[in-house]
This record gives sequence, C-alpha cells and structure tokens, in this order.
Amino acid sequence: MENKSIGKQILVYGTLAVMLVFALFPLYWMLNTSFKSQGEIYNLTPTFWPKAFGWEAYDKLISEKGFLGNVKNSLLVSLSVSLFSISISMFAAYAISKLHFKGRNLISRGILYAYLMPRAVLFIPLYMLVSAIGASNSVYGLMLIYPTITIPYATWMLISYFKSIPVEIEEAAMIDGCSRARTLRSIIFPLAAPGLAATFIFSFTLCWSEYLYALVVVTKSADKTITLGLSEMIVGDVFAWGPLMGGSIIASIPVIVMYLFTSKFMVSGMTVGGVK
Amino acid sequence: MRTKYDNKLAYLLMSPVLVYLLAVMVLPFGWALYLSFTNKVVGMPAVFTGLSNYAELVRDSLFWKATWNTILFTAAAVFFKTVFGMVMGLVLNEKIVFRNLFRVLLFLPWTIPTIVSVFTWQWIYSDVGGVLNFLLLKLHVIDRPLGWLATPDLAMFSVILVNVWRGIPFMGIAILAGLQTISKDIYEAAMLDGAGAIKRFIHMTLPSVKEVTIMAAVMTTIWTLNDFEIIWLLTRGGPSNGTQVLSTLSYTIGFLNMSLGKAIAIAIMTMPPLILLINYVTKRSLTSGD
Amino acid sequence: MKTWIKKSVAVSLLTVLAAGCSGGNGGTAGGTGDGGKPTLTLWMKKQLFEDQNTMIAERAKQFGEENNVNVNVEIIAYEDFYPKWTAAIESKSVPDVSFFGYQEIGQFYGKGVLEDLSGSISELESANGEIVANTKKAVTFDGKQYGVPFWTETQVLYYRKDLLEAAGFTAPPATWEEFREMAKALTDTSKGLYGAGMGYGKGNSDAEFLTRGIIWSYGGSVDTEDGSDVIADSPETVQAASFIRDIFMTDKSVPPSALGWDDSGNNKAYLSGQAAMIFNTGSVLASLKKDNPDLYEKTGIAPYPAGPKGQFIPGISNYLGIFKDSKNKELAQSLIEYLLDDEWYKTWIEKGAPLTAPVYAELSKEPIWQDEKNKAFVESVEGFYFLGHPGEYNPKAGEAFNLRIVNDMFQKLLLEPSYTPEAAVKELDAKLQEIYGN
Repeated sequence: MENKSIGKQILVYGTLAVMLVFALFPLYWMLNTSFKSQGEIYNLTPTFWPKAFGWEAYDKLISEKGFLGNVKNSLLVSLSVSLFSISISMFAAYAISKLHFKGRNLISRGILYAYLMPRAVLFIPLYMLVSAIGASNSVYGLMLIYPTITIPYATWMLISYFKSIPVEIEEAAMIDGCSRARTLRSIIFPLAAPGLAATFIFSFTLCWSEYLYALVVVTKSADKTITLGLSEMIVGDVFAWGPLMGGSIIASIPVIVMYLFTSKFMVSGMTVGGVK
Repeated sequence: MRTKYDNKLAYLLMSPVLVYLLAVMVLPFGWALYLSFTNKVVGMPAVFTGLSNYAELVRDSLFWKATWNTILFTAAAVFFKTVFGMVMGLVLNEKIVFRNLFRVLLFLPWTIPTIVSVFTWQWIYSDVGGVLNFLLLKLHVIDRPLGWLATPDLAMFSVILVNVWRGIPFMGIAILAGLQTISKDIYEAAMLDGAGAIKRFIHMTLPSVKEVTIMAAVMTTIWTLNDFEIIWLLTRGGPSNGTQVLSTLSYTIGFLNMSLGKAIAIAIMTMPPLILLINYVTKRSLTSGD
Repeated sequence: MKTWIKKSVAVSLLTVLAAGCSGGNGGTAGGTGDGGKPTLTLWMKKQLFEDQNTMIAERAKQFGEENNVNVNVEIIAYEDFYPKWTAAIESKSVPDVSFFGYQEIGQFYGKGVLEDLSGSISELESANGEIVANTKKAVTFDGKQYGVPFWTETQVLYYRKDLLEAAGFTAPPATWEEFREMAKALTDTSKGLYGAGMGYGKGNSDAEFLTRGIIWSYGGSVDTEDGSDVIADSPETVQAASFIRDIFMTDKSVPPSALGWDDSGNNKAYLSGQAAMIFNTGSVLASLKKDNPDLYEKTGIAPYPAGPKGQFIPGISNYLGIFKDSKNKELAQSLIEYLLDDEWYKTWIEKGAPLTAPVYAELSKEPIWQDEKNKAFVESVEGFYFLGHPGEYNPKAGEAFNLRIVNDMFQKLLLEPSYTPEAAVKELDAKLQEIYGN
C-alpha cells in the first residue's frame, strides 16, 4: 500500500511537471525574447537568458507605439460586451432552462446553431450593418458585433448551469410566498453566481482575443485593440520580435490577473450539471 | 404543476437575446445565404446563379483537399485536447501541494489571445534562432534542423500542436469540474472492494465525467473547425496546400480573389455537419420533454 | 410584481440600442464633419520607417489646414488592406484616397471602382518633372492611368562580400548560372551556411516575384502574350523551373526549411548569417544598418542576375488611387498632388531610402542614390517588368499572383522528387488557363 502510493505520487508529480513545462515554455520564451536586443534575437544560437537585460522593447511599445491605448480599447470593448451579453443572456437562459413554453426546443437549438456560425459567413453582412448605422471605424462597431460571439455562448453555458439548480429550491421559495422575481433575484442568481462569473470570464477572453472582425471594422489608430496593435508590429517582411513579444506579455496580463482572482469560481462555474 | 406554460413570461425574458440575434445574426445570415447563390464579386452587383457556386466547389479538387484537411485538423486536435485535458483534470484532482497555483499556471495558455500564441510559436518554430530546433538538436532527437512549417505533414503537425497547446486547459478545467462532483465515499467503497486503479477509472471516473467531457468536446470542435488565425498566420494554408482548411480557403477566395459568393458558399458548407453534431448533443441534454 | 424584471429588460434593450446608436457619428468616410468642413480620409500603407509614417500624417494635416478640411490619415499594414478594401467597397464607405500596389490597381480597375487619374499625372509632371514611364505603364488601361505613382521598391541581390572573396569570387553573380555555381560553392552545411536564401512559403510574395524574374529571363512566362492565351507551357519555362529545382534539390544550396518561409524568412536567414545571398527589397539593408553594423559593412548589393534572354527585374511600384464612390474627388486629387509635390516628396522619399525609391526621374539623380549600396535600387527601375509579361499587366495576372499559384507549383516541385518540371509547368499552365477563363 505504502509503495503503491509513493509510485502514484511520482506519477502524479511527474505528469504535472511535464504538463507545466509544455504549458509554460512558450510563455517563458516570450518573456525571454522581450528583454533581448534585436541583434541578440537574430542569432543562430538562441540564448536562454538575455545577455543584456533591456527594457527597450517595452519602452518602444509604450512611448512609440501607443500600446497602452490598445489595451484600454480592448478592456473597454471586452468588459462592456461581456457584461451586456451576460445581463441579457441570463434571463434567456433562465427562461429556457426553467420555464415551459411553446418553441422551447427550437429556440434552445437555435441558440446553439447561432454559436456555430462560421465567421466567414457573417463577415461582410455584419460590416455592412455596422457601417450602415455609422459605427464602422470605431470600437462601437465592435461592441455591436462581438455579442454575436458571446451571447450564444453565454446563453448556452448558463442554460446548463441553471438546469443544475434543483427545481425544489425554487418551488420551496415560491411556496414560501416569494414572487418569481424575488426568487430569481435572491435565490437563483446568487446560486448561479459562480456560473455567471465563469461565463463572464470566458466571454471576456473571447472578446479580448478576437482579431478578424477588429481588423475589418477598426481602422482609426486611436480605436485599435490589442490584437490589431500586435499584428501591426509586423511591417512587411520585418518582424519586431522584441516589441511583439513584449506586447504579448502586456496583452496577457489582464486576463491572467482575472483568472488568478477567480480560479476557484472557474472550476465550480464549469461544473455543468453537477451542483450538489 | 409542471404542465403549466409560461409563454408570456418566457418570451419576455428572452426578448433582448432574440431581438439581438434576429437583427445581428439571422438577417445577416439570410443575406449571406442569398449571396452564396449568386456570382457576387467585390464591387459588382450580384446576379443569381442558383447552385453554381456549390456545384463548382464540389468539382474542385482543392475544395475536397481542404475538406479533408479540415477533418484531419479538427479530429486530431480535438482528440489530443480531450486526452491531455483528461490527464490534466485527473492530475489536478489529486491532493497535491499548491494545487490552486498549478491550476492557474496550467490554465494560462488558454487565456492569452490566439494571435499572441501564434506569434510566439512562429518564433519557436523559426529555423533561424528558433528554440525548438535548437533544443531537439541538443538532445540529439534530430540531427539537422527541421523546417517545422516547410513540408505538408510537418506543417500540419505544427499547426495542430499550437491548437492543442491552446486548447488543453479548457478541456482540462471542464473535466476537472466534472471530477470534483464524484463523491469520495463511492471511491473509498470501491477501494475496499479491491478495484484496481484502471478498473476504477473505466467504471467509475469515466462514466461520471462523460457528459461534461462530451459537452466541452463539442464546444471545442466548433472552435477548432472555425479556427482561422492559427493556420493563416503560420502557413497561409501551405506548403503545397498541405494545411489548407476550409476557413483559410474561404478567406483566400473571398478576400484575395474577391469572389464573395463562392467564399460564403464554402463557409456555409461547413455548417450541416456541425448541425448534425449539435442535434446529437442537444438530444442528449435537452431531453426533458416538450 | 414583475416590474423588476420588466425594468431589467427595458434597461437591457436600451443598452442594445445605445450600443447601436452611440456610434452614430463614428463613420468617417465621406460626408461632412463638424462645422460643415468636408472630411477626407487617406488610407496609407504602413512604412517600415516610422519617420515616413509621421511625415505623411503631418503633411496631410497641413493640407487640411490650408484647404479648410479635416483629413483623417489611417496607417494600415499591407497585410490588412485586402479585407478592408473589400468591406469598404461593399458598404460604399470607401476612403477618398488609398494606397494601392499596381496589382491591386489592376484588380480594382477590373471591377470598375477606380477613378481615372490621367489628369493628375499630367499636372504633376508639368509641375515637378517627368515620372518614370515604367511606373505609369503598369496602371495604364485603355490609355488612361488609374493610379498616381508614389514610390517604387526593388528586389536586389544581397551578397556577403567576405564569403564570396573567401571562396575566390571577385564579383557578384552576373548571370543566373553564375549565381547557382556560387551558391553551391558557398554552401557549407557543417557550419549551417547556405549559398542561396530563397524562400517558398505559401504566402511569400518575394518568391512570387523572384520566380517570375527567373522565368522571364529564360524567356518563359506564367501569363499571356495578348491577355487571353496562357503561354506558360513552354520549353523556356520548363528550363527555368529545372534551374530552380536544381538549386534546391541537386545542389542543396538552400536551407531545408525555406519551403515554409514567409516574407520574413530570407531576411532572418541573411541577418543571422545562415544565407550568403538573398533577394530582397531595401528592408534588409535598413535592419542591417540599425541592428548589425558589422554585417552591414560586409554586405554587397547588386541588381538581379541576367538569364539567357537578358535581365528581367520584377517591378514593385506603389500608387495612390481614388475610389469612384469617394464623395470629395476633387479634394482627393489635390491631396494626392500635394503629397507628390517634389520638394516635400524628396525629403519623404529619402527618409525611406533605399527601400522607397522616387518616381520622378530627376530625383533618382540625387546624391543619396549614388551611394554604393543604394545605387542598384534606382538603377533597377528602368529594367522593371510587371506581372502579365510578356503581355500587358492585367487584372487576371494580379489574381494569379494573389492566389500564389506559382508558389504552390514550386512547393510541390521542390517537395516531390518524382514530380518533373515538365509536369509541374503543364499543371501550372492548366491552373492559369482556369484563371484566364479559358
């Protein structure tokens, strides 16, 4: 028994170590590159630690390329779109998961179909829609388009989540004389908080990393998002690897921080159909 | 009690979502669908040509190559993401030190923007100053630098690797969530029964995370199938169309060649298999009758 | 007691509307801005040299002040232009003035969305002197020009003077055969050194140009003579294809990963010392000067080698054009003329030397172009040939270029030993026929 559990420990930690190296090596490499000089980067033999630590890449990013502005735009779009999507999706998800109505099956399926729509299909129609209402070339255009990604996703996730909340809790509350509105507000939504949080973070991530729509909709440099800011560091056949990797690091920080603070929610929030 | 219908309330609650989806998805989709039946090119008026775009595609060997590549890319990527996601979930479900920290660290690849991970991997794959060749040479796994994006098979492997690297955490966390709902008592009972680890895994662990795994795998399949950035930025569908998938083909035909109608037709042809898949899944999860 | 829900729904709906409407004045293209001032939008290609980008923005602002208009300058990376043009044309919210490569001028001319700018060109020529004939030729359709030449870029041969000397060569290769010979002699795989850095990635535009340059100089073609009959399947094209194949497969003078190189591949190979000779525009020289002065000194620059039929240099020329849907065409023309005013233009173009070369013949005589390393860039312009050769450039040739059909064929040719140049050229011919609609 003893032996077996030591063997198991080795297996568990060994696997963990391999997975950590695989997951983190590219991130380490990003960080490493961002501190190197351009000359050192173009070296036939890569170095695992910068010979001379330099902040030039970051300096260039912030003072020359206005990268912080990109970060701000991305934050603005991602936050507002995720909040908006969740705030309307949760009602729809509640209705689909808890209420009986005609066409329920059709609608819940329709939402999933909406989710699988390839972007190539909607690309041009959406651009025309956005420019027809005059929101092209600004972050507002993105705010209109991104919910096409987040709403079906959020609704679908939340449906599964609400389903996992036993009907009995709700019924008990209603019998106690609570109105449905009150039940929702003081029982269902609090119970669903981890699910809401997880869905919010995933929605945020989807908006944060979106590239294709942003590329077409936003041209004005003041309104560019991080993904655009990054892709612009490639000019023709010259890659500015230092700033590119530095920008990648900066672009990753907000999301990483968010996950750090909510990692507990993430697991319970994703427990689709399994709340005890 | 359960037969009561709340039609009014239900539609009221759903109205914002429905209105939005109708205006920003359904109508544009209808328009796109129409365009796929026309000879629409950029800057010219569309003329209805019936099924000719689809007929042309079905006869085009490149379309079938891209279809096959899409299936290969998606199947391989989803398979490996599921397997390694399962491993990640199982490891994180053990009593290990700093579990929370490791959980966050392993989750990182999923959190950073796709375009960032693509640039990073492109740099790792690079034949000049690229660290992957350097490490493998040092470890004597290979005896000369490999062009990771230079031959069709290797390029396919490389783009799948990036997709898998990015996608494992999502599967891992979903499966972990499922694992944590398994009650410890049942496990201990099985231990007393003398069930071996493999037996326990097959008969108890697997069934209890089956649902959540399938759900997450479906989500992942949709994401993978529509993946555009990884392949476009790494290989443009090359070499020799070895990594040409439907999304990159559609982009090339629509934006470089400006044949919008045909490009949309390609994208639309990816939908029926997905709809079948979704019907299969929804049948499983939306069984409660109406 | 459903008021709470109703309120939330109302708020949500309002948010939808707000998200849709708050951008009401966000559109920039066309129309009039504040105070009735017209607004001009310029889409300019992002240049490698930051100074050039800043100068364009300042110049446009100055134009705005002098003419009492708002000018929006949007600097866009070349890669990003295609989806943007497409979306802009389809929604009719086009920029007033846009950058175009000559391939795109042809493609868009074919769709009938560009303005005739012959008038601007003759005005500019009478004010500032002659514009190089070759650059005008590439955008002339039915005797009219649909773009105003803005600058040219040239692919030249970069070679390592030190390595060539060590191998006993005193001058850069003058012919392609010499190039092959030298590449083979310079290759030393034990040191990771290769003679020729020729990339063939799928998206690689350098390769599309380079390959055409070689094929043309052997007397072959990948286009037509008269705009309709594809003449790719000729012994000359096969000869050129065999020549390239030999460099890769017989001599192995090219790094093995080159088939996956994008446009940055040969830059990296040269900058890191992996390749002794590459073909590229001035961007490599700029990087060298900035990051590797040592290698800069060792670098020699020469024009393209010649083939049996002479020297053929694939031209890369860049233009400003006006969309038919622009709402301020006259102002747009004045903006173009303002940007090409030779006094300001000289400063701007020289900031980008040698990557950007002037379109005014007179300006290429300036001292900066007499520099040993810069000379080849302006000298090559006279020898420019364009896509479509030996026929005139036409939209179909641009389409063939954009689809990277030539790269596709060469990737296959260089990967599969059993695939013969004859078979490859035949297949290429068939693909091209399809594009030309035969």
